[in-house]
Amino acid sequence: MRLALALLLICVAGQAAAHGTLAGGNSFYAGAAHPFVAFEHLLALLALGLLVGPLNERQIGLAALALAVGVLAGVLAQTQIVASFSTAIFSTAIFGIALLFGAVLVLARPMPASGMIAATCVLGGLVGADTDVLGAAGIPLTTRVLATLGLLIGAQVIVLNAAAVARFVQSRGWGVAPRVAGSWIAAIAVLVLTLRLTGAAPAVLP
Amino acid sequence: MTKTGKITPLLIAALTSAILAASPAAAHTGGDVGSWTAGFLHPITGIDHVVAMVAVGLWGGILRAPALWILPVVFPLVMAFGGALGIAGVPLPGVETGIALSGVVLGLMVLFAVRAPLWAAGVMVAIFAVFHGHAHGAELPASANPLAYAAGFVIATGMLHLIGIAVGQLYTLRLGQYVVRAAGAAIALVGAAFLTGFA
Repeated sequence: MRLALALLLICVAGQAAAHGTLAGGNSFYAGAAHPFVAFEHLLALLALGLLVGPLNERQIGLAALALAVGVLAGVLAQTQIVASFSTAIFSTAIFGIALLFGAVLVLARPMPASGMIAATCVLGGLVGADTDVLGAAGIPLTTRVLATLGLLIGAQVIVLNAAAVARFVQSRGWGVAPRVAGSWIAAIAVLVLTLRLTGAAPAVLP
Repeated sequence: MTKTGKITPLLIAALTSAILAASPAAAHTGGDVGSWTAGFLHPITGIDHVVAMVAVGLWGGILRAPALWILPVVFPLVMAFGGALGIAGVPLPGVETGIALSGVVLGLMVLFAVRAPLWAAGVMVAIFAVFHGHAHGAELPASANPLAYAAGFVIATGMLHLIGIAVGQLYTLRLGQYVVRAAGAAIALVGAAFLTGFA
């Protein structure tokens, strides 16, 4: 009951209006903010977090490592090899992984560890390659490094917080909550993938 | 929350109240938020959608676990399939009739506290979800940011289910059974009004 009252107080609290906008923001913050403001990244990373939450600490650590390795590989690939590619293909693939993770959450069947690590690594790679703050020509190396560091931290914050929430709800006997969230994530991914594949929506979100 | 961590009607009612009483998050005023808001409001502002979504949760409350959670998991997934049909321009005859009929049928299920087998309840809810999804999907491509719109309407739909589930918890109380079944009657009447053209 105390938790419910605390949530009630949080939700009815007035708005904190100390800052009108996020003024400026350097490359680190641009990288860190990107997975939060790029909806497809947020969707897939949340799904990943909910998926790995119930696993043991070693497996969660492995997933976090795989994500980091994937992000770094994606960033390198974008800056060195595929900078001229349209990021739309990466974005669409991220929705595909969000759909996969959402479906696995709904089924509540554990993925094989190797499959999970591979999918996480691929997701990290796509997130890195799809982060446009890193790939533009003429960006100094320091800026790229800071933005990449921010991206790594931002992505991990999303995944680990979602994992913590999944662990918490499972420990309270609400293990069905991630399944419901998974169905929402899968439903959103299905709709957007359909929009992309039918050409009814822009491939790059505004 | 009880010390055993079980979900109680009081807890669900408190959480639902908190959600409904929350201030709007107004950090951004751009197209993304506009699309999100449009998507979120779409199921909420259509009373025919609202009553059917709430009825799914109410019926789940009567059927108890596992239907209590399976129905709200099935609905968004199948709704997305219907939405995909709408986006792709695949015609589905009688969409509005199907939506109105969903209110009537699901309302009657709640009114008479029909304890259908899980598979039958799932199939029935899935069929109606296709109609609701098709209606949403047909409007989705015009949105400034379709992802924000899709996220908004999927989450709003889920929230309506949760409200239905919260109210459906009253079914465990003797007086609450009358409240839940009366809500079912009201939902059936609203559905009938849409079906017959009165609304």
